[in-house]
Amino acid sequence: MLRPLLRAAVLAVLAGTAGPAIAENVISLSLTPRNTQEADLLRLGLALYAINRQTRDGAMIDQTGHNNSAGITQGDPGSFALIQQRGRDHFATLEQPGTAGAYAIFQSGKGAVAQVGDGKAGVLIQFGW
Amino acid sequence: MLPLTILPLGIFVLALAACGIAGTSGLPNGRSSAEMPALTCSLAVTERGGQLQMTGQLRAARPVSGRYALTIAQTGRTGQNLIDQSGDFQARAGETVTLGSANISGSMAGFAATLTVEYAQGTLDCPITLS
Repeated sequence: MLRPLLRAAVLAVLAGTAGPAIAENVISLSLTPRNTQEADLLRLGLALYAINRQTRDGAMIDQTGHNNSAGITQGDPGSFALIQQRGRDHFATLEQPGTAGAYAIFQSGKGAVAQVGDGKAGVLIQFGW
Repeated sequence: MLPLTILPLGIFVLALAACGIAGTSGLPNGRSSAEMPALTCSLAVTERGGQLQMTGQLRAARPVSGRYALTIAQTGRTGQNLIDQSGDFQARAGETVTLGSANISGSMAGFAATLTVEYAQGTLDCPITLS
């Protein structure tokens, strides 16, 4: 039930997002809201995802595979951070120094690297091969 | 008959004893109400379905404010994780507030966490409760 809502939120934000970037066997798609409405929509989508995973806020690291590495730094209890890694040899760090942040990093395949310094609102999707 | 020089000493000893009794009467462990901790805290860790769920909680005995820091490190089959959370808190008397929460895939093997609370009375290392 929640997946279609999340998909709709992501697609709505995707509509105004720049094309994917490809570098060193990794394709990256970054979704950054352009205005308050899109940011709210993205937060809603991530909140629904978090509720679906029985996490209301805070930090969540979800890994399968091996030799992955993830780090989350938050400065506000109202922020939500998610790092999901599928595959191997991924590396991701996510910092949320501000308030009411909502950011998610999805990595799959192998060898993707992400370092997000200010995870205010957005989604980063990476696939490595 | 006692010498007159012993009389003032006796009065002094009696006065000291009286002060000691007054200082401890009606208070647990000989502590005054001002010395009692304003809060208690804990980090609850639950292992369920291949996930570790962690929630920091604080219960205030009196109105209290301060800052907390939650650090979680976990190394497992799928890799290694580090979560740092910090922030300010404010609680009314009798109130329970959440100090950070985190969810990590993995098990208790290779898991380490600390939750520290700083407030006016000092710094408190919160105990970890497992379930």
